Amino acid sequence: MFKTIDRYLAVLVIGFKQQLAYKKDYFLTLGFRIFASFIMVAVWTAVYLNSDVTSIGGFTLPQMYLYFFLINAIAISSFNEPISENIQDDIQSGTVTTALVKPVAYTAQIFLNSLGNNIFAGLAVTLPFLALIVLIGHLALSIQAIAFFLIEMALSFTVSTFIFFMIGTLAVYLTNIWGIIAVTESLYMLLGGGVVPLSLLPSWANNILALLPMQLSLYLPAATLLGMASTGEILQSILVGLVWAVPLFALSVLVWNRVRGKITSVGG
Amino acid sequence: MENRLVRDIRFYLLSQYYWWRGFLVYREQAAMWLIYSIINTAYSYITVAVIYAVSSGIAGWSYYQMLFLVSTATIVMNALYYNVNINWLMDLLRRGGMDPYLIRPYGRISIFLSAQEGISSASAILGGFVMLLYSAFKIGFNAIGLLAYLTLVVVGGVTLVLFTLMLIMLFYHLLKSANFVQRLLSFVQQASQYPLAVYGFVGQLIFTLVIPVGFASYYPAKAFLSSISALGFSEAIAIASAISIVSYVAFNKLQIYYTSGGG
Repeated sequence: MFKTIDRYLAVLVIGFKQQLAYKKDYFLTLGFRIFASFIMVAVWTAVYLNSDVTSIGGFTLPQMYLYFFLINAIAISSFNEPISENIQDDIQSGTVTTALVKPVAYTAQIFLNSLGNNIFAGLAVTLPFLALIVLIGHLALSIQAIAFFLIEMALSFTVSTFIFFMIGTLAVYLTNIWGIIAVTESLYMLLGGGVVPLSLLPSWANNILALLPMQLSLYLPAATLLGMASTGEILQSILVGLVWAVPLFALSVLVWNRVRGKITSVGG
Repeated sequence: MENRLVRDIRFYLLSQYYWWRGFLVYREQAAMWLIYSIINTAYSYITVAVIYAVSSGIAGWSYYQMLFLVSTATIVMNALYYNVNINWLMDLLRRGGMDPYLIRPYGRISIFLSAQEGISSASAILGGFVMLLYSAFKIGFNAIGLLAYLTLVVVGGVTLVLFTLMLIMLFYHLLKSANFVQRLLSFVQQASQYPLAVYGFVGQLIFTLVIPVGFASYYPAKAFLSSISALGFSEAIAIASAISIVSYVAFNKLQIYYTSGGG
């Protein structure tokens, strides 16, 4: 049994180590994410100054600053878009054939690999960025807020894994799915609160978005750390996430069982 | 002898024709990239709509004026991406894929613009144009403002293209990677959609003299809204032209030292 665990652990470590090759890229990402936050800081400062109000949509100006910094910190590790890229790469390069004969299930390989990637992204970008925000923004984080934040991030990662996994399997039929991945990622950002805080949207839009799992990826973790989401709201969103996770998992298994027999790669 | 400029334009247009044909071979992918481009463009419109729905907006800019600025920035930046696919160009340079192009009897700029494509940006240009017309009709316009706008968009757009090409060559020499330029331009694209005044004096300097995006989006929009003086207009043209010349010269200088895979 330990041997089996070792095998799976090795795949996770490989995923982590792969990202070590792109250290400079992560520093670049970190730098530009900080710069990108400053654009929204400048824009919202101008908006608050012109509107002569202290709060918009429940956000004071400092909270709005922190929101955009938090979004940029969280976005890189809260959803598992790389899993669909990995499947596409395996199909296109033909490595899927060798991956399928390895003594670790292919689904586990790509999941653990992307998990390793995300853990690295979390440690290299999200964590230092968050630490900076907490220090500069004087965020007083409670143990409960941190616990909720971690649950939300884990649930968001899980739900997005199933969604992006199913998108990845489309590569079996279409080979090149870059466009579909990009569209899904964009929708995730839009519906998750990556463009504007969801509380600024009309109530009808908020009611719809509350039923989708995307807000778990960006808006809710940021609102949790800012202390702007009540325990009731957080628990409700986690429940929504869990409700999505179960059928999406079942659907992923179903989809994989259907497509695995149809995989062809270089060499037939 | 056929005019060099005419030959270069014909080469560019012919390349575009074949790039479009190639793009449309994979219809599902083409549709997806076009949708992606529209969604990404919608981000800015949604931000502006939300800002003006929940507040008084940005001082000195009405909702439709902001839409106009966002549309101008969208068109200009996507026109840049349409003509300069940064990753593709860097890849061509790195792998020696540019070599067969460079021996052709055309100008270097035409070759660089024709050797790759960014067709997926076309839908964002079209979407930006529709929003531009809509906001322009809501604002109302005069012939002088329109002429000044078009002049600045063209001059600023050319400056931005030359500046980007120079940047690609520079980072090819420095890092052999497109990542920095790609991320820088994504950042610039986001910044260009809001009035430069919100970034303060330093921000205005950065987005005009260091990265000349202001000449292609902010100043044209100001000219259209008739809130720029004749002197301001002339200065914008003069500075943008100077940056174009410097970029062009630097691009050509950097070309001299170009080596690729295989030497």
